[in-house]
Amino acid sequence: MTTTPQDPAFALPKALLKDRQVFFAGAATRTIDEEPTPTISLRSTVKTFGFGDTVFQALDGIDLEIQRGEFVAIMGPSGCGKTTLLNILGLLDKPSAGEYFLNSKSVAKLSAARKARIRGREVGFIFQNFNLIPTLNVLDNVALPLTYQRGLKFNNLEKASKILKTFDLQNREYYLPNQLSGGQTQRVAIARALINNPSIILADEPTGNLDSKNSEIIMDELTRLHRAGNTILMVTHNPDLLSYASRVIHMKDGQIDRDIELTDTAAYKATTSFISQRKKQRSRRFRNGRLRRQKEGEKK
Amino acid sequence: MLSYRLAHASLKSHRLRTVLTSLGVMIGVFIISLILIVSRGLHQSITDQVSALSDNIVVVRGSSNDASGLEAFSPLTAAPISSLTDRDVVSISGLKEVEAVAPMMFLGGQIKGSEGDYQHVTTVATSDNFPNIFDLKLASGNWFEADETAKQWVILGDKLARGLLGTTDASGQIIEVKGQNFTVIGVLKRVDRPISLAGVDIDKAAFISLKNGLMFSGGVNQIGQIAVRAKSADNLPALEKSILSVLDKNHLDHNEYSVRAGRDAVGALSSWLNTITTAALIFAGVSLVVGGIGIMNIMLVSVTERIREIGIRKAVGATRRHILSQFLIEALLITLYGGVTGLALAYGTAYLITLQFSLPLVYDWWIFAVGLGVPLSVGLLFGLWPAARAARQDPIVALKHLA
Repeated sequence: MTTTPQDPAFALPKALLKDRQVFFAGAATRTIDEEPTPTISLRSTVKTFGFGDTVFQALDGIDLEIQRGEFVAIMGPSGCGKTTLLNILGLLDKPSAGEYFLNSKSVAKLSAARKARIRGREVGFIFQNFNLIPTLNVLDNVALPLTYQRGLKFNNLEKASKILKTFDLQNREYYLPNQLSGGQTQRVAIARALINNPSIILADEPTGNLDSKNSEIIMDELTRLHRAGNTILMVTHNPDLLSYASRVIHMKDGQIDRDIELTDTAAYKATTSFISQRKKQRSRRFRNGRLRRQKEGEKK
Repeated sequence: MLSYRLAHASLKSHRLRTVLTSLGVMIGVFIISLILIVSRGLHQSITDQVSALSDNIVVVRGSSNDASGLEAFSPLTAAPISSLTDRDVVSISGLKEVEAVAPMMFLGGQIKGSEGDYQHVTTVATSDNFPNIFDLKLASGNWFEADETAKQWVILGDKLARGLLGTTDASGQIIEVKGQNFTVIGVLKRVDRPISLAGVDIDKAAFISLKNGLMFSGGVNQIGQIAVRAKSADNLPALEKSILSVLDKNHLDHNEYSVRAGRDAVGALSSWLNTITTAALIFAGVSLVVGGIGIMNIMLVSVTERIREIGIRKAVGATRRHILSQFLIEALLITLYGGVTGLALAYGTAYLITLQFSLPLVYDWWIFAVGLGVPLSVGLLFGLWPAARAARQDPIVALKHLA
């Protein structure tokens, strides 16, 4: 069941696609191991809240690996730890125990400032309640992650304006968040999440506060992003949304209950094609590397 | 620049609160700047008045030097017991640096005119040299000549003439000085210099000859002070020395007299002015501290109600330092707005005051530095803690905070 809309407004913008490809080329050259390295890797992660008698175990030993380019839906009853998991993955929260590797680097010993910088650059958050800053206009809200990045900052608003255009919001730039509809607000929030070209998009019930029509628009946006090669983790209560994902993780009482690849969705096909493509690239590089080393050995 | 724009935007969204918060600092800066501007103006005006026309004037007092501050220049300290004599006047006028000498005898008492009646008027009995020494001009009539001292003539100051007779063109009119009839022969031009080396407010004084003065004192020669005009301003210290040595010869006790020049008056007045200015600045400083506490209070409220915003900012990559500087910039902007308005208001008010009291309007760079630097340091001092509190927020706790 594919849900790609026929409306040309939802067609993948070329500029965005190009950006993703550039990003991927960069990412692929970073690791040339034989085994494909997952973007996210959690090892027996535990998160507890409270002290003494009131201790609550939100996560109870999670082991999870997510490959680059996957569209993962996380489901489960309330209080099962979905949001906690997402917060830990997004470096907003610290696990009480266990290890977390983001892009094959442990984040346990990173300073608060370093984590903040990774949040800004590598992670894009999409919240159920949008979390735009009410006193800033749409353009400033979208440009916000750029203001916290290092380097030159004078074309921030230009960049924000460009990305708003791809979401069909160019004539809402100077609106305040409370002047927008729910769907528009969430699209602004997605634009903000994407402006720094993050490697992971974390969406916590992105359609939870939207009606079905707006939900569909938002899901189409996420599909578009996924096709462009983004890794997406989405927490949801709505089983209808599973059709957009390539993999679904059911959680229960802080543990992963079931972890299923949704082999019949379009997202799955897209994901597998990314991964196989990357495997090919890697093996080619690996072969080339071995050949080069052999030659160097022969010279010696 | 962008952080300034964002801070400005967030202040603008709470316009009334921003204005009210900066009001405290604005009032503080207004008071401090106004005090500084006016006191600088006063200081400059005193310096101008005393030095411009008394550059080469020295005053010999028949009392010891222990009176301090303004008191030293009041005729009351000089008048009653004086050891100066005619002989001193003659000896001083014989010095080579001296251009002119006028003895001054201070008398108080009632003066009656056709339009007014004053109980305590400073009447100065002096010589024909007096107007030359203090550079006084007559609005009408004449000063008495050296050979006219026996006649019962009087010259009036501008304000006194208006009060007594209703006019400055009063020559020939008869007034009653201490029960004696005197003919007005001249009225001085307005001087507008309540503080001067002459020791009297010339506009409010009456002037008679020394001979007439002796008539009132029963023949007792009580010269309160001797005004001396030097030939040039350059050798004033030398003149002071020679006057002292001449008087030392005439008197046995060195402490019976003192010599003062214009700069002594400036020194005494400015030290008095500095004391008042310092006291006023301390009170104004208290108001600034109160303003600062107001800012801290509002910043703390603002941090609490924007915890969620802090959480969002941290989620999209803001570090502690970003949040700290954001709130600090807001506090600094509030105080800067207050400082600029306060300074502008102070100059506006100072302009009106200087018009009213004919003082110069001073534009010293350091008044601007104080007017903007003090509020900024208040902003820094009182904004730092709320900003640090904002920066310390845990991102996940802040995001969950109910807005």
